[in-house]
Amino acid sequence: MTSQPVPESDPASAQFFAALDEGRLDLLRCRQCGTAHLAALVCDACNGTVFAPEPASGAGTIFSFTRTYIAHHPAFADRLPYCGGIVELAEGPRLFAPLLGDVPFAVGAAVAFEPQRAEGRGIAAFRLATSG
Amino acid sequence: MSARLDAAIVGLGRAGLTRTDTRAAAELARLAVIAAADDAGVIATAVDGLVICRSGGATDATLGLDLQRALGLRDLKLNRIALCEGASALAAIHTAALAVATGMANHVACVFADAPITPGTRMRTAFGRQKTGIGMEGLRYTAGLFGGAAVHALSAQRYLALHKLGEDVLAEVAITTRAWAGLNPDASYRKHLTHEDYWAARYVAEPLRLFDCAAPVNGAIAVIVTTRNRAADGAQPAVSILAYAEGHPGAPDRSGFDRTLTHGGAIAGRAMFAATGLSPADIDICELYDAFSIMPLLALEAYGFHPPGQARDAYADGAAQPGGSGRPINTGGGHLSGYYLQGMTPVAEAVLQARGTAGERQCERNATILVTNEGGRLDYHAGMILGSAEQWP
Repeated sequence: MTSQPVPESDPASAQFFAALDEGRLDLLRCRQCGTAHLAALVCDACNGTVFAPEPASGAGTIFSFTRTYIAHHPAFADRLPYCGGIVELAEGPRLFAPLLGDVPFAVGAAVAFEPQRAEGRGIAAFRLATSG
Repeated sequence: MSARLDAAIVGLGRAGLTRTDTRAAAELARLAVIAAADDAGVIATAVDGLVICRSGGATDATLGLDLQRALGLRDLKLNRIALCEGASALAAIHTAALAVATGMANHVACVFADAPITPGTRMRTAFGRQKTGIGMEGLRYTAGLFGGAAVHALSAQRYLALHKLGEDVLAEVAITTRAWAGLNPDASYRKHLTHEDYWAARYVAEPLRLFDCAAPVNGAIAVIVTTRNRAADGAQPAVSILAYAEGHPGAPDRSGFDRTLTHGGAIAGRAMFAATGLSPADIDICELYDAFSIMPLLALEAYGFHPPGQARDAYADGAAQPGGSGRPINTGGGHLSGYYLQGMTPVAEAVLQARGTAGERQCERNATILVTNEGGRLDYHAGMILGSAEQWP
């Protein structure tokens, strides 16, 4: 079975992908203005260049999502249809992520980080949060 | 109000525009430029400026500055690539307008070509190529979001959810656009589209179904831009460029912003309406970039034709269809049913409508035509208002 494609890191996202490869979801907090980023070399809110890594809570909401019916990549062929979308983390940043489970998703629904692995790389997937 | 650029579109050339043509983009581009010059009534070697539209979304990135050599142009004063993703066509035409208005060149050809269909291509995968990507943007492929349909589905899903609307809103866009395509011999899909047909079609990426997605073709479109004085002696009725503006909102991917729905038309519309003294009510025809059915809805709202969440009113009861009670929208069948040549698709139809040569689908009122171009995932936007030179001398 072919694995899902995982991007190579660039300088801005090196910290994010290194942490993810170890199963963690990390943020970069701008030391100057406090804006939370997932990847940054320069803070687009204040132009600050010093960031402190911190673990994300893993809590978030579905900003948007889609169920896709065509496998453009062999890794998705045996899971059609599958869901992916944009998750907004409780701390503010958003990222593209696979959405796990067959439950009906909705814009605004609460989700939780669920680390996955593919050929040695980490994947930030999310699943609907259980209530309570 | 501000002064208009001394520029007009005088030639329109097309090549390919079919789903069976397998010629390379560079060859199609060459043929389109020659056809555009012929249409303008100038010999091809009179073209002294060339602006090539480049988009990361196009499959053939090899179309480059050496198109000059293929065309046998020996006296170019301008040779440039306009790179603004799907907004490259209008950006190119604006570059051409600046060049002729300042005397840098006399006849500037702007061309876009694409050839996503190669022998053996499955149509559904023409633009959904496998990618891995780098950095955070590359995570879209980890999430399984390949091709434009998947990311624009995210805009559509959020739009419908925020405004508590159903997928019928998208259906009306697809059905209206098909009705126009039925009157356009150059459109890819002309068969009447019923509501039953629409709902029976498979999803590509929810909430986008088959008929919510553009029709890929191999083809090229070129236009010739010159000054208004020269245009007056042209072989075709000249088309005036009344206004041009870009709008790039640059919304960050974090809370407090909405990159899926923030549309540059709000910026560009304000600028163009201020420059011309026109308002949305003064626009006779809309030719909107509609690679996916959600896009014209967002453009109509960004430009102030309708309040947020209410652009469906533009399509209600067939208002935007041929013979409808409202403003005609995408009168050639757009990308959805016509052909997907990015920003040049709405330009070509606007030129025909402004000239009054759109045949069966010619609109009665054609003094002001809004053309929109979208690039990225609603990241880059350009707009232009065109009108016949007869009505706007």
